[in-house]
Amino acid sequence: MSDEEIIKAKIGTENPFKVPEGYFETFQQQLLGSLPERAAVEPEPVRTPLWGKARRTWLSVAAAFVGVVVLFATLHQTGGTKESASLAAADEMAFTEDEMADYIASSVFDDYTLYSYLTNEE
Amino acid sequence: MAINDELLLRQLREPKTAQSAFAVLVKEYTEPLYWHLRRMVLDHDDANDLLQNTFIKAWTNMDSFLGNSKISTWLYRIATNEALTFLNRQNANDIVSLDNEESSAVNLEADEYFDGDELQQRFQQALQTLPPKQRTVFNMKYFDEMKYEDMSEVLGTSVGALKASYHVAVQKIAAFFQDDI
Repeated sequence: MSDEEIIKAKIGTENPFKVPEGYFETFQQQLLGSLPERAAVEPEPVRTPLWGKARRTWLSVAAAFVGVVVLFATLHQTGGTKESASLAAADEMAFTEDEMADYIASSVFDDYTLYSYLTNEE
Repeated sequence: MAINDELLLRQLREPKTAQSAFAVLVKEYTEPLYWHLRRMVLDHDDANDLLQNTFIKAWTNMDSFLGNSKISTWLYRIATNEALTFLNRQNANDIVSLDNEESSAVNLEADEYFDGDELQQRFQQALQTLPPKQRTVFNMKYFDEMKYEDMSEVLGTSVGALKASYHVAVQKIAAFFQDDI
């Protein structure tokens, strides 16, 4: 049995917390009665296009082409892999330093165990 | 009955139907959000305050919700951020001592809204030893059986990191109960 299954077998998933009687019904009434005024959102004015639709379409295509060329040139210069790796690292930094250090220092994984866990766990 | 997100969002954005649509939202999500918050902060009054803040923030920021995620994901995100901010502020104010873990168990024992036995108290004590975000991951997986992909949207963390965090959390809890289990 896995640790999780052992914990569930021993402790279960029952909720040990209670609420005052009628709490949820009272909460909903009180909340809805105390909502602040929302600022009215002004609808955007309808703009009459200065240029014809066809000309705008050609300009959009041209702009998209220029954008692709610039992107390709930028990636070719800087190396896309490094940038995406640093973005992935930033995502991981969503945990605090303590939590990451804790994870690393626990040393419960070797590379193979971690790989197996990540690829098998649902 | 499953809420139709697209329809509800349209009604929420229309001034004439916004309030009635929000009432539907509140009715649907009050309980799940409350229990999500309560498991994080333990105290009923704190959970109640955070739940109110969550819905008020959702109401006042409805127009900035782009609809590129489920409404439930968006609400859980607000609630989780409220709770984590609260816990981080609480931890910063508390004196750090070895008695911290024990004091939360003592509070539960005296809490009229806690109905668990001694084993449950120790379980909650073990959960309190986890960093707040890791505890959130554990709660969402263990109690709510949330999919990692959904959790990733709520917490803004990759699926791999969440799986690893949950695995470590489970090992810590198991170690806490080493003699009992």
